[in-house]
Amino acid sequence: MVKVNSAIATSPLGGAVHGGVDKGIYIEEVPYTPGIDLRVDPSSLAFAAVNQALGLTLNPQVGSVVRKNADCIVSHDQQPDANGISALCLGPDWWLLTGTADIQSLLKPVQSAHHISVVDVSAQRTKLEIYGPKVKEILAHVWEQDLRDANFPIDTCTQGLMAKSPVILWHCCENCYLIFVRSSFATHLWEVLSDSTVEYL
Amino acid sequence: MSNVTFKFDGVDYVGQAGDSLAAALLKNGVLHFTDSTYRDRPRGIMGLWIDEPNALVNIDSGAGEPMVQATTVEVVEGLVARSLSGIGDLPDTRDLSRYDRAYRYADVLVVGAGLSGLAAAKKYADLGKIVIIMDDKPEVGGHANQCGEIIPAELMSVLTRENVTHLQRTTVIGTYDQGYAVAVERRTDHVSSKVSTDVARIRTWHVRAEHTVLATGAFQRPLVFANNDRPGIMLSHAAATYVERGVTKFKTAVVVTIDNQGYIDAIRLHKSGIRVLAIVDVRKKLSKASNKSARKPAEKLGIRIIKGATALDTNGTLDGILSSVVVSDPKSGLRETIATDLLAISGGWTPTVHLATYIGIKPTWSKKRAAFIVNSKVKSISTVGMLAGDFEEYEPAVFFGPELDDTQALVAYVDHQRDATLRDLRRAVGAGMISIEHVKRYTAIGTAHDQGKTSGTLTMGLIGNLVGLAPDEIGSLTFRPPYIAVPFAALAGRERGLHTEPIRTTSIHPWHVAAGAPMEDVGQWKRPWFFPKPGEDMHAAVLRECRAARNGVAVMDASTLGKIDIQGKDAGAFLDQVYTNMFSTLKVGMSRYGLMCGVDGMVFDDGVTTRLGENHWLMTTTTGGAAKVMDWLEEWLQTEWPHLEVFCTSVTEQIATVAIVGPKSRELLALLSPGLDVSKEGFAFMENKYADVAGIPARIARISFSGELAYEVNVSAWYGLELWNKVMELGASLDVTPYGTESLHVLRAEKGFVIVGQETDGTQTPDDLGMDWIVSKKKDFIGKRSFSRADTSRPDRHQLVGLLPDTSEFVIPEGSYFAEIQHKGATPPIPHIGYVTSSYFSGELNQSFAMALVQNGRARVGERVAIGNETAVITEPIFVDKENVRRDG
Repeated sequence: MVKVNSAIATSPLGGAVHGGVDKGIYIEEVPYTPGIDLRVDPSSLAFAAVNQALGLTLNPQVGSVVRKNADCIVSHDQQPDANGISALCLGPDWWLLTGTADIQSLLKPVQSAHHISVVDVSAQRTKLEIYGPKVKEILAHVWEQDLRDANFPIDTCTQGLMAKSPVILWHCCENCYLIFVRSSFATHLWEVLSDSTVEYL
Repeated sequence: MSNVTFKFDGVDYVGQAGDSLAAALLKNGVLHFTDSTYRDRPRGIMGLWIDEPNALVNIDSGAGEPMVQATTVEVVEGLVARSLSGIGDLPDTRDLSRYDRAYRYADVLVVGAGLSGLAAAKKYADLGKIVIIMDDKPEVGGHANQCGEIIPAELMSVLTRENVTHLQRTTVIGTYDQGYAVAVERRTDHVSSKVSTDVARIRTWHVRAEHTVLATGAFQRPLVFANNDRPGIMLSHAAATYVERGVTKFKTAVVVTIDNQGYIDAIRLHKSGIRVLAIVDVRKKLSKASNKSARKPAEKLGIRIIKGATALDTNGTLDGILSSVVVSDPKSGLRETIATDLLAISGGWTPTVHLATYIGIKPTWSKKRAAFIVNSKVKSISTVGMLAGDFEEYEPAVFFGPELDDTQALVAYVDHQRDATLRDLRRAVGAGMISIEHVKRYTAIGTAHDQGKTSGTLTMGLIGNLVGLAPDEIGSLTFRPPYIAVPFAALAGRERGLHTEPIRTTSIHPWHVAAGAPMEDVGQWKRPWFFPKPGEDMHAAVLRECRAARNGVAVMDASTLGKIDIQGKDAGAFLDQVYTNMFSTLKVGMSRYGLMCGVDGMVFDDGVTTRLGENHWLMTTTTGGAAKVMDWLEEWLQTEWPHLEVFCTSVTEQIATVAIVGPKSRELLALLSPGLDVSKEGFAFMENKYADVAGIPARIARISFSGELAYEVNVSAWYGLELWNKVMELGASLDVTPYGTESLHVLRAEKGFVIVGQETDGTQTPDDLGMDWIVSKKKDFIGKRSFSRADTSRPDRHQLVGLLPDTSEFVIPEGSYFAEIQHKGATPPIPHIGYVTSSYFSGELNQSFAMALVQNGRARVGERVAIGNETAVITEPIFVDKENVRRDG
C-alpha cells in the first residue's frame, strides 16, 4: 500500500483543524490518505478481474460509493480495518480507490493481463473531513450542488468546483462529508471554507 | 419604536428606528428633497419603495453605497446620507464588510410575502413541501401591509413552520431557466450604520426550486399632467401610508384618481386627520359595486367628489413646492384651482412583471385592469395576486393623463429621474418612432436607477394615445436582470481580494515564501520569481542566479509543470498522433521533447514525455496548459479514437520536481544519491533512472531547459519540501543557488528555447518557430493537413529570430513593435515588420537580447531594425552554446 514516511512528509495544510466537535462544525485535514486512480471499462473482461482482485463489486453508476471493511471512522472513533477499500465512481470507467488495503498490489496481476490503468494519486489530493450538525448549511456557502439527503445520500460522491477548486465530495455518514481537494488548491479552499463557518461558530 | 439620530445633507435629525429614510425625513418636514438631474426641478418623495424615481441618496456611513433610494434605506443610529441629483459616488476607502453566498434547493420558491404569496406558501407548506419565501421589503404583507391591513394570523404562522424558510429584506434579482433564481439578502444595514465585519452584510442566494410562485405585487402609477413633479405630489398609497405612519407635514389633500384605490387612500388620509378637499375621478360613471365600495363611503365622510375630471396642472410656492392643483374637465368646461399641500395620485396599478419576463413569459394587456398582467402557463411557474391581475375590482379607467398643449407637455414628466417629458415622447413619435424599444433609447425613459418602474406602462399608454393604438399594440414590457442595482461585492461574496481566484502552490512553496522570493503569477500558480539576497534588486539577483546555473549549480522548483500519466498498449500510437514528432519508437526509460499542434496546425503545447514502461508513459505539459492538454487528450480518445486502449490520468500535483542545473549538478546529484551512477556514460542525456535521492524514492531524468548539464528529480509531493531542504543542505558546499522563473526565462531564451504562450499566441506553426525539425514527414498527426495550406507556407509569415540591441544595456520592452532601419526615430504611423516576444539582459553575453517574430525573419538575419530611436540587429534565435556542448557538463 501507499505508506507515508511521516518523518519527512509534509501536507498542504499541515493537518490543520478548524472549529470543534462541540461547536457544531469541525474541519480537519487528514493528510496522506492513500488514493489510487483506477480506469477500467465496465463492459470489458478486465472489470470482472478487477472486482475479483479487490474482493468487491465496483458499481459503474457515477457517484456511487462501494465499501469493503471500511466504516466511516470520523464519527465512530474506531480503528480502521487493515483491509479496507472504498471505491468512489467518478466517471463511467473511472474510480478513486482509497483505504488501508494494499490496492496497488491487489491490482498488479490484473494490470499485466488486462487493459486497466492504476495510478498512485495519494499526493495529488489531500483530504478534508468536515462534520457536525451545521455541516450542510456551511457547505452550501461554497457548494452549488444539492446536498439534501434525498439527492445526495450517504455513500454517494460527486465532483465539482468548491471555491473554484476541483474537489471530490463524498457524503460519508450522517452530517459528515469528506472533501478530496487537489493539493495545490488546498490552502485556498481551506481559507474560504473555514471563513464560511464564521457565522456558525 | 426607539429614536435614532441620523445625518442628512449635513443636518442632524431624529427619526424612529424602522422608518425608511424617506419617512423619517418627511416626518421631519423635509419636502424638497433634491433637484432633478438635467433641469434642476425641485423634487420630493413620490413613492414608498423601489419605484421611487426621485429620492436618490448616497450613503456615507458604514460600507457606503452610491445611489440608493431613500424609500429603501432604514434609518439607524449614526446613518449618514446625502441627497443626490442623479449621480452618486463610491467611497474612496476599501469596503471591509463581509459578503457571502449561499446555495439552496427547495420544492417551492415563493417570491413576495404579500397576502397571495403567503397564501401560496401556506398551500405548499400544508402539502409538506420544502418552501422558501422571499420578500424584498422590511416587513411582511406587501400591498395589504402598505394599505394598513392586518395580515391574518393563520397566514403569518406559515413563516415559522419547520419546512418553510422565510427571508425578509431579500430581493430576487434574477430568474432563469430550470427554476434557478438569484436573490440578495440585506442583513445588517437595518441594524447598524457600522461596517459589518463579523456577519455578512449582504448574502447572495442561489436557489433552485422545482416550482416557483411569483407573487411580486404591483406598483402604483402616477399620471402625466403639467408640473406633475413638485414636492407634495405623491402616489396615493404612498401618501396615505406616510400619513398613517406619522407624517404630519400635510394639512389638506386632493386625490386624483382613475380607480377605486384613490378612494381607499382618500379615506385613509381622512381618517388620519388630513382634510381631503376633493377626490377628482376621471371616471364619470362607476359600477354598482364600486359605487358601493368606494364612492359611497367617501361621500359619507363628506368628501367632495369631482366626476369626469382630472388634474391638468399644478402651481407652486417660490421654492417650487406644491401649492395648488388645477382640475379640469374639458367636456363640461370645468376648470378649478384647489389650494392644497398634498396631491395624491392614483393612476392605476402596474404589476411587477420583471421576474416573469426574465424567463420569457410575456405579459398581456388587460383593458379591464388598465395594466399588463401575467398569467403563467408554464407548469413550473405560477403567478398569483396583483401580478396575475387580482385587482380588477378597482375598475380603473384606461387613462394616463389629460390633453396638454406643447408648453404644458414640456413640464409633464413621464420619467422623473431622466427628466423625460410628454414633449419628448411627442418628438420621438414625430420622428417616426413607435416601438417602445426605439422610444426608450431616444428619450432615455426607463433607463435610470428605477428602470421604468413608474414610467414603463405610462410610456406605452401615452405613445398609444399619440398614434391611436392600445398599449399592447405598441409593444410588451421586457426586462433584464438584475431587478435592482446590486453591489459587485455582493455578487463576489468571498471571491474578493486574495480569494478572487484560487492561488495554487506547490509542496515547496513554504520555503520560497520563507526565503522572501517575490512571486510571479503563472496561470493560477504562484511561482517564485527570483530569490533576492539582502540588498539585491531583481537585476542583480537574476544575474547571480543565471551565473550559478551556467558556472556552478542552481536549483528550481519545477513542480508546477502539468503531468499526465498515460497507460495502455496503444499509448505510443496515440502519442504519435498528438505530437508532431515520433514517440512510439522511444526506448523504455528515455524521454523526448514533443510539440503539439491544434487541428489548425498552430503550436498548442509542448513538453517532455517519458516512456516509463512498455505501455506506460508520463507526459509533461506547460504549467498553464495542463488542464487544456488533459481535455484535449480525453476529447480525442473519447470522440475520435475510442478504439485505442489508452487511459490518461492527471498527476500534476502527485509529483514534486526539483530541477538541478549547471556544470556542478552532477556533483550535487552524486552527493544526494551516493549509489547512483551519474557519470556521463552511465547516465545519458534524456535518460531516466530510479534511485533514492536524499533518502526519498525518486525518478531522476537528465533533462535540460537551459542547455547546461541538468537533472530533474521527481518525488511524491509528500516529500517535495524534504527533497528541496536536502538539496539546499547538501548543496551548500557547492554554493547551490535557488532560482526563479525570471532566470528560467533568461536561461532558456539564451539557448533559443521557446515558451508556448510567450513566443506563441496560437497563430504560429512549428516552422514559424524554426522548429521544422520536430515535424515528422513520415507519419500523420493532429494538424498535419494544415501545413499543406498555402497560408502556412507564405514567405512573409512571422518567423522567430533573435535581436541584439546596439545599445547593449537597452532591454527592449516585450511586446514592442519594430520597423526597418530607415524608420529609425520616425513618427508613427510607420510600417512595422515584427514584434518582440521575450527580452532580457544576459550576464553570459553581457548584453541585452530578445526573441522576436518578424515577417520573413530568417531571410533578414543580419539586417538592422529600428525600435523608436534604438536599433538592433536580427540574429539567429540562439545566443549561447550553439554547438550543444554544455549539456554533458
